[in-house]
Formats: sequence, structure tokens, C-alpha cells
Amino acid sequence: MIRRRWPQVRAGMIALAIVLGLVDGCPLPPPQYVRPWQAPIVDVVRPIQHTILAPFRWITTHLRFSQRWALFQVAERDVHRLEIDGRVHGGPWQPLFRAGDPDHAAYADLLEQERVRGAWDPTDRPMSQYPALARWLTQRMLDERPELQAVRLRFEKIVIDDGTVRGTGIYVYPFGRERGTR
Amino acid sequence: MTLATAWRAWVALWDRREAPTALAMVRIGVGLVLLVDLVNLGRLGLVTPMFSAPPDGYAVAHDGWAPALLGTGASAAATLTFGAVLAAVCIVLGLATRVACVGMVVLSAQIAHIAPDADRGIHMILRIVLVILALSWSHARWSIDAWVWRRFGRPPPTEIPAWPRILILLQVVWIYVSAGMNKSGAEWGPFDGFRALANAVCDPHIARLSCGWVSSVLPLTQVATALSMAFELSAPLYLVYLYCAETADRPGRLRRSVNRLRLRWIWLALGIAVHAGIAVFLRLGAFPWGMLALYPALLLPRDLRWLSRT
Repeated sequence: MIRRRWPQVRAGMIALAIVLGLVDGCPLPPPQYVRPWQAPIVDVVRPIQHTILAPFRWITTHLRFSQRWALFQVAERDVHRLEIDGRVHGGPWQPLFRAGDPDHAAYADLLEQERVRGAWDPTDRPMSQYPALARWLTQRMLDERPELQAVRLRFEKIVIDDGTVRGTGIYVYPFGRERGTR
Repeated sequence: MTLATAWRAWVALWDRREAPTALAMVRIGVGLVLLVDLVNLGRLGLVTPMFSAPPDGYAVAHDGWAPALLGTGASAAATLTFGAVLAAVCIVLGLATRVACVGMVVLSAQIAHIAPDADRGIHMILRIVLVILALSWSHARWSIDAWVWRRFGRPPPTEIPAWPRILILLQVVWIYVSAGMNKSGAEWGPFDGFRALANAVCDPHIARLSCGWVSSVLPLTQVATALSMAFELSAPLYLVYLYCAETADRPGRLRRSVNRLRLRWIWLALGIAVHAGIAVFLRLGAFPWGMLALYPALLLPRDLRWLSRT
């Protein structure tokens, strides 16, 4: 019986999977980014979405699936540039790494790896793993470079304008570490 | 069309059979992309830092099965990665393929919990595709599984259910549409002069090359931005192009025009160009290669018939 009905059962299950995928992928803005004009729609649609998906939430949670694809959502002019500086005892800060700068490329192979970049490249806020990455990285730098007394990470706000990159001198998300501190 | 007719057509669509060539190509491509991604982490000495909790690394505390069974240190990171490499090799070779696909999904999901910021969009895409591949006969061609079955006198089917390929096709189309809809920045549209790609290739965090050349070809980057948006948002039309190509022997002016203008091939070429451009100008890791690995699923079985004889 099931064997004879299998094409119908399978087509039904695929239809269900597609509908659930579309519900999950409904392009609602995250709660903190809802604009006032969007609120009346989002306030109605989001609870419906949550209710429909509730029985299947364990799949998306455990296997980390989503049908909401925000690939390269923004490519703004105002972005950040990671700088890592080191300081010998009593000396000034010296640049070790500056993103996109071949003259200051210590640890570039490691930092520019796409999956590592995911942990430090900020959006409009630092990434969740940034503090842990910064702690691990600064410790590694101090271990590997005994001449250094301190290492710091920070991001300069930069402006991209038709092929030119201009620093603003404004730094955010600093993280520093002195030798011998945790 | 009545509801009953529509349902019969829907059932018939998912009951099609075809040569396993496209799914085998997707399996090998996806496996290779995952393998290179993992081997690259090992080459750069990143396995321990990325997948171990402090002080060995910067992974997050997670209460999944892997930390419970293996712990959170360097040996756990190595074991998880080794398991994933093994699964990727098996997927490429088509050895215990279905088990390998499921194993890779479970390991990849666990790795994603341990290192959430290292889990990029492409890893989630490939996890979803691996679930579909696990349910498919992608190992019916170019696999050790198929070779073993033949040796035992039980050759794999020459025609396999087509629904996994069609599902991957729909998944790819949805990824593009969703990505297009979620591109909320003004720089992707006319309000900021389609400057997204000019900005992206100058972003020092992801740019592969120095971008001094951008100002001299700014209009070209604007055209490229508009084309990539058109490519993503027009993805559902690809299904229409496919339908027209598949039913080319039927009458209809629109069908004839779509086929004569080769819109299907233009859209595919645009997709390949978008991903090739990303690979050349941006450091986005496995993303362009992972997406291109899915492209055989976008073709009609007849497009790959020349490969089916191998």
C-alpha cells in the first residue's frame, strides 16, 4: 500500500519541506532592525512564522539550518580596518598587521582566512567570538615574540570612496594585553 | 487546471527518473570543496585555535554531544576535524556515501555550534545539500559504492530518482532570490549609484587586490553590481527558461523566444561570472567554489548526456 502510494507521499513531504523553507526564509528584518513603517507587518507575520515553525525548530537548531540567506547583505562605504600593534618595553606602538596592507602583514595568512575573519570582521557591532579570538591571538603573539611587552587590536573606521580608502582616525573595539596579564 | 490535475502534475514532477550524472558531479564537487576547506584549516594550523575552548583556542562553550564525548581541548578539535576530513574523502570517492553525507552534516553542525562565527553561509548551504544527497542515488556513478555493487553482480540503477537534483535546483534558486531580497544596503541599488561592488573590492578585510584601478572603471563596477542584483532577483525566471527548454517541441511564441535568445545559458553564464568574479577579487573562502559545485544540478539531464556514456 505504502509502496504504491509512495510517489504521492514523497510529493507531499517535498511540498511540506518547500512550504516550511519559504516560511523560514520570509525576509523579516531582525527584531533590532525593524523600522517603524515595517512594524505593523512584522508584528503580525513574525508570530505566525514562529508558530508554524515551532514543531520543526529542533531541526534548524541542532543542524544549524536556515532558509534566510543574507549573503553579502551590505557593502557600505563606511567600514572598519583591523590594526594590530605591538610595543616593546618603553617603546611606542608599532604596527604588526593592518588589513590590506602588504607592508604590515604579520599573521596575515591566519587572520585573512575566511573562517577566522568571521570571528573578527565587525558588522555594526563586534562579532560574538571577537573577545575570545582577541585574547587567544594576543597571547599567541606575546608567546611567539618575546621582545613584545604588549599587543593591541583595534579597528579604524574608514571610508571607501570610488576606489580610494580614507582613514578617519577614529578607532573602535580596542582590545589590549600586557605581558603577564590575563 | 483543476486541483486534482495540479496534484498529479506535482507528483509526476517528483517521480521523474534520470541519469545519475548531475548528482554525482554535485557530490564530488561538494566533497572536494569541504575537503579543501578543512585541509586549508589544518595547513594554517587553525584546527586547535578555531575548534578548542580557551586557553587552547577561541571556541565557545557548547553543550552538544561533541564536548560531552570528546571534551573541549585540542584533541577534541583534532578528532572532530579528522572525522570531517574522512567524511569529505568518502563523499568524493563515493565510499559509504550516504553514511558519509549524514556524518558530515552531524560533524559540520557540531563544529558550527563550537565555532559559530567560522560557520559561513556556504557551510550551511552545503549541510542542506548533503542531507539531500544522503537521500539520493548520487553514488550510482563515479563511486566506489557503485564499483563494489557491480563486483557483486548488483549494478546500481542507470536511472535514479530526479527529485534530489530538482530540490537542489530549487534550493539554489531560493538562495539567490533570498540573498537578493535581503541585500538591504542602498549601495546595491540606484539610490547609492550601484556602488556595492566598487566598495567591496576596496574593503581591506576582504579585497584580494589593491583597488587603485577601481576609480578608472567605476561605471563597469556599477554595471556589474546591477547585473549581479538582476541575476539574483531574476533567479525564479530560470525555472521558466528550463521549462521552455524542456518543452521546446511545443508551440508558443514566448517559448520560442526564450529558447532562441538562449536566456537559460545567459543566466547560467552570469552566475558563473559572478562567482568567478568573487573568487578573483574577494577573499570569501569556499563560497564561490561551493556554489559552483551545485551548478550541475541546474542543468537538464540532456545537457550532460555526453558525460553519461562514461
